[in-house]
Amino acid sequence: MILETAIKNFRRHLAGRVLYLVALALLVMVSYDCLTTYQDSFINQISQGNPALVALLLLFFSLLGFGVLIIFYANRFFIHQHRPELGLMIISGLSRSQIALIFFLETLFGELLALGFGLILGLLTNKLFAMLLLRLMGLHAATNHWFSLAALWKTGLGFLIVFILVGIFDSSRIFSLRTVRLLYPNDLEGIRQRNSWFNRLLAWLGPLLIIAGYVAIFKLSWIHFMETLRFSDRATLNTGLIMITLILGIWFCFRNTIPALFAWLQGTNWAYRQQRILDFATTGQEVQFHHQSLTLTTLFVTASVVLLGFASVLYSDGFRNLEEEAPIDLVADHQYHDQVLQQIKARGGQLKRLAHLPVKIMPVAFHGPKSEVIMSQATMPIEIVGMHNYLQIQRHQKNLLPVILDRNQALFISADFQYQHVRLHELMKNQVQFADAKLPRLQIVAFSRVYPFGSNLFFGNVLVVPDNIFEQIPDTNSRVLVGYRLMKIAPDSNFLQKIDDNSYKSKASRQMRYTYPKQLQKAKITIYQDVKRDLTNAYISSNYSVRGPAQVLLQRVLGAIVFVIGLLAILMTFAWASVCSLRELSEVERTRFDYLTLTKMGIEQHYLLRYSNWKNRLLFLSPVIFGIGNGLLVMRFVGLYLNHLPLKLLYLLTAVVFVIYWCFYLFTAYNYRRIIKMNRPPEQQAR
Amino acid sequence: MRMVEVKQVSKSFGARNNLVRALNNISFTIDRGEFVGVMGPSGAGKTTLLNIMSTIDHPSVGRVYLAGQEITALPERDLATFRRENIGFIFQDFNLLPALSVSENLIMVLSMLKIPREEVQKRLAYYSEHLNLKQLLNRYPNELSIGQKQRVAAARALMTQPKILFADEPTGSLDSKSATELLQYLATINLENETTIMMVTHDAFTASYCNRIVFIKDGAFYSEVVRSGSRQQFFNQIIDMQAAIGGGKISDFRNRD
Ligand SMILES: Nc1ncnc2c1ncn2[C@@H]1O[C@H](COP(=O)(O)OP(=O)(O)OP(=O)(O)O)[C@@H](O)[C@H]1O
Ligand SMILES: [Mg+2]
Repeated sequence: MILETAIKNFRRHLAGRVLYLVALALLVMVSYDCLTTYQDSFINQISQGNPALVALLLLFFSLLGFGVLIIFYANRFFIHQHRPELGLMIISGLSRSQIALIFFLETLFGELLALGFGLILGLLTNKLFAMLLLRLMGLHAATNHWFSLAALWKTGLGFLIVFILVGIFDSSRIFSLRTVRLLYPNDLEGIRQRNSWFNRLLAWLGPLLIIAGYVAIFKLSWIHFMETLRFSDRATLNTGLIMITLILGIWFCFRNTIPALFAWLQGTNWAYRQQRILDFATTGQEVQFHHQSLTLTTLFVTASVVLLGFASVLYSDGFRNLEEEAPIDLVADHQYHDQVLQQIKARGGQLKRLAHLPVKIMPVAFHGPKSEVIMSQATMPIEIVGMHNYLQIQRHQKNLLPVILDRNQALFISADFQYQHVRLHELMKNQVQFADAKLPRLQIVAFSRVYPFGSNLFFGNVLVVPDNIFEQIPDTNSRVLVGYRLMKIAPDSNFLQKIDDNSYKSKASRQMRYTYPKQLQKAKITIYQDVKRDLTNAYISSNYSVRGPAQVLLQRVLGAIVFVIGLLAILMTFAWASVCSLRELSEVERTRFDYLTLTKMGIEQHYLLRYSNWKNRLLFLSPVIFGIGNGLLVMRFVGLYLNHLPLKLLYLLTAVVFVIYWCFYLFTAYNYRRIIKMNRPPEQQAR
Repeated sequence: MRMVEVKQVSKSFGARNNLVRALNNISFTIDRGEFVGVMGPSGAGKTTLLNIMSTIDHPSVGRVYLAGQEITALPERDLATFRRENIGFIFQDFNLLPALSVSENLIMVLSMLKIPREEVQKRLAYYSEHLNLKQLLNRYPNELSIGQKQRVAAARALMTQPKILFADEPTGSLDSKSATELLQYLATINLENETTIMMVTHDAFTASYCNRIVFIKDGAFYSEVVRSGSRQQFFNQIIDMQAAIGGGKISDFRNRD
């Protein structure tokens, strides 16, 4: 009978829980995919034990953890929904353990169903998963590995442990339930806020903390923790501080501020004249009752948006950096030219000459707004290339900015400029004065952060000038870089790795010492080759560069991380939205009585349905919007820091998050109406 | 034989600054086979009293003995068994598990008691016959009218053949015909099976089916009326007492017998 009851209960609630089970199944599916891919020997082999694959393992465990969280919350709402039934069972004389068993079985059926489906989906989608991952990692290989017994049972076992763990939580909850509370549910009255000074303080504190958090995001320096990831760091401390402030702020807002505000609204005459506002105001208690899950929703949405933001930054920015750093297979200047070329040819590699680039160097001074900031001194050394050569390279390096310069115009290339908080239009008002007085001043008309042949080969700032000016610049310290395409040699071979490593060694690098006089004419540039790297204040660049294994590795790490982060964010959104939906549906039974009373009082049904829709929408979507706002704000700030943040991609992904929640809201509202109508008293049912 | 003994029970709700005393040192007894009604103005503490006597709630102070056991001292573990064996309930509205059909609702507890199948079937046949539920056995609770639900609830409560039956306004949402049927049935089992019944009600007509009415006011025992003559006389006595206690309703004065 216990089993039968559990089965019947399960069947009865299936319709409202479908999406939650689907979400669980998706979690299982991705977990299985992660494990299989992580263990797949073929993928391990072609990615050469890439550390990034560990991210998959991390994802697996975070999915298990997230599974605990959502099942825990879902069951909490199930218990809430079942309260009268549980009470009835208790007073009919069922022992708590029998009741806990019924409940456990009831939830277990759903979970097992989800597990089974998830594993099947996992088997089906495994290939797609691996292909996506490989594509993002820049590996071109086909994998056909989809079945792994080990991964199958590990995923199954992992989730079974999760189910049992949550089952134990639930049982202890069922054991501690008080019978009176179950049979005479008055939770909303029970938590009605006392108007104590403490609660009033918290109500004010909520928004204040949020504002403080926002201000802190913009004023404190925190983002560097992403680079150091050290816990003792000041930036890490700040990040933690901002997070705690925001979390507390959001929590108090849902717990105290909004209920207090709504209670106040409800008391005003003005609200009584505005039906909508009154409807709005009456949801205050529900907000308070659900403040925990509302807070979590906000946080999860914020986290999703931030994660997606970082994924899209990594995706476009990381890959772009890669392209900017080593866009061409091989570049060498005359000094190393023969040596490197011979090594490669000896290994069977073939080379195709693409273009050459003469580079000159000279001190310059900028004149115009913020010029001191741009130069960070009174003058600065700059490497100069001619427009014609630049455009030649642009044919092979598509990410170079294509510009046609008139007389007296110049293109400024700098990777540091974006960190100087100077606006572009201010830069464009600057003129460049050369140390050689014969040369005319040039107007900066364009800016780019992409260097021809890659940034490794330059000291810092580069100027592209019209060819007639380039010819007038003296040849002191000049050099010629030649770019090649590499063929018949694997891009990730150890051999190339060695050449690449050697190019960073101090012997192979070029160093420049620059004196900073007040007057431009007195500035002096000294270039050292083949010396030990012990010069302070020196500029360093490479003499040659190979697009080798380091880049390949980086690309794969980036790919794996982007994949994992993006997936986690989307899954999190989906799973949590389904839990929100359960929360709303668990309230139906209770509102049903209010609903009946109100219909008996003669209030029209369509009005009541509209009201419940409106209430659902408020509870469902307000934390989502709040969370999206938070997330976008954080990313906006990150965007200030990286002024080329691909916000368009982020907006798109954010819209996806919102649409997922919106779909869940529609599903919930539909089921809500269905149940409310189903529970109409029989007299009203057509027979 | 004593079925129920309530000894100096008090119950308070709320925190210190807004304390509500729902029951204030109340004591009384019920003998085996009595059909007792509890009446009193709204907020007098009737539901609270019933909840405490029926193990749903705990008193702040005092003791309750049921069938010779001190239930206020029983741990939750033993309470489950005790409830199964001794107590039946009928509530005003929520009485049935919505996922189970009527017959499943009726036999659920019994089948967990490991009572032999034939015995369960016998009782099912007996009670469904008596309460006129034969056609409803395969329906689900949401397919029943409120009166039908209430009849099923009574059958469910009686299936375990409890020693005492508690009912909190069982006729509250019934029309007068269904109410009369249910009450008549309760009176019958009270006589035939010697089931002790305690019923909370507002309604003097409903109360007139009892043998004795306990009136409480402000959480304390106020007085009691014992039936001696006809139902009509008893009904009038009840109405007089209600008027005296100051909690009567206009509708109660309509003679519905
Ligand atoms: N959970 C509770 N918290 C606070 N006060 C309560 C609670 N339950 C009951 N009370 C208070 O205890 C008193 C008695 O309540 P009770 O429900 O027993 O009254 P009643 O006699 O059943 O009334 P009615 O006839 O209206 O059902 C009332 O003043 C009520 O406000
Ligand atoms: Mg009551």
